[in-house]
Amino acid sequence: MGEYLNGQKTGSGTSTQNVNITQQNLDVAAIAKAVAEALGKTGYRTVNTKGEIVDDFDDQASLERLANAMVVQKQDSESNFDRLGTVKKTKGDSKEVQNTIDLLSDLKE
Amino acid sequence: MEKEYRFKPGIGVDIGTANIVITRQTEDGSFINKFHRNMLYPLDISDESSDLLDRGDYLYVKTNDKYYIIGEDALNVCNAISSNTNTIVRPMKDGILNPNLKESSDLLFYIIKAILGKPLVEKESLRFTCPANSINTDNDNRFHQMILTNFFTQLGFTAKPMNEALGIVYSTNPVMKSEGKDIPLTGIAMSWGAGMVNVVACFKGLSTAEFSCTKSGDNIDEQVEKVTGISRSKVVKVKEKTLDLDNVDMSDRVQAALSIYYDETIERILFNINKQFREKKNEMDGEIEIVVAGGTSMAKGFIGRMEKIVKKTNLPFKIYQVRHSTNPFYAVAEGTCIRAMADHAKSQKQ
Repeated sequence: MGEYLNGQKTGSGTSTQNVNITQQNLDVAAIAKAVAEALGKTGYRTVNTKGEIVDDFDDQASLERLANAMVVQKQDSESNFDRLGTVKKTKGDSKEVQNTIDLLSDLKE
Repeated sequence: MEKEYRFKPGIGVDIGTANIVITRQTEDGSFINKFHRNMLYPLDISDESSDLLDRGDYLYVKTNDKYYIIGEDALNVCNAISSNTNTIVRPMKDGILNPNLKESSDLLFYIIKAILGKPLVEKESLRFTCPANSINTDNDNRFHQMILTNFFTQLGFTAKPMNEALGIVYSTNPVMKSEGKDIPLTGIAMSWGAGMVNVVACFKGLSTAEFSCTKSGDNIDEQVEKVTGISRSKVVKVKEKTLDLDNVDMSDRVQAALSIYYDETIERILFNINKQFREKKNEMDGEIEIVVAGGTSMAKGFIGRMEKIVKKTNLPFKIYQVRHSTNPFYAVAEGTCIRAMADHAKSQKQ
């Protein structure tokens, strides 16, 4: 299993890893790398290694998903009507309406 | 109405706090408006309520545990059963879907679908109204827009929201007079709804500034009810049948109170127009007109009252007239229909 001399491992006859470990100065990254290599790929990835919190919340997309979920079309409701609404006919100035449509259809939104 | 008329593609939907209006234009240039009162009256399911519905021939939707009487019938049944109109359910509040009433929102979709019918052409252009963000509440209309866009898309339309007051601009064509020329679709439009007033300043069809303000017609009724002790349904009756703001009978306390609260409401909205447009430094080179529509503007003498208050208010624009839409109740929906037809025309060009 190896021997320690002045707190330092000197190696053993069966060692296959050459990792430098001291009690005073543990090389954590090297240990992690060695463990990872020994275990193979685990499927996890390390993020935010510098302790930063990344604001990756997509407000617009979440709101859209929620809005979609809010639209419930009641299929199971019973009613005593097929069509609704009181009809009222009004007269517009056809020429003016067409001018407005022409102007608006050229507008960029 | 689809069986009787031949329509052009493009449909306008005005979903207000008090009413829903859906408009299409026929090939001969007329507008066909379908109107429905946006209210519900819940009744527990029982033999008595079933009997009432059968006898009264009222329109209703039945859910798991309740009947919901809809539209004008909701008001009629409510008045017959109770004088308390607070039992009426309004699926909308301050111009947007009432988030506290999930069940009624679902019913609202059911009702709109029954008024709307199917698209005339694949992915037919549809415009629906949306209030501008309010200056006196923290309403954010973005979510409301998303829900309705999704809903209309599910029904097979290509739907886009549109500022409510812009509908008035497109249906009434305000004109700015500048250096001897008439600039079309330019001026200020005001939509006086039940829940709120929407205001837009527009230049050649494009909105340059917009906002909304709560406390409109419903608030006038509520305040008059409070100060006179007379029920709101009676106040509304006086407002619609008797009141003339050019000739108020001040010995009638309901008319007197209505007159005072109309003044207060118009003055408050004009104060806010002044404040908002001065802060945003909106400028117009010429003389403009203010075009007005909406149910609250339909009280007799409303425009005369407004003209007087406009003259007293130091607005940052020169106003040459205040004009009432010829179809004040349908002007917004007709404007959204015009915009939807323009969207269709644009899609055909591409």
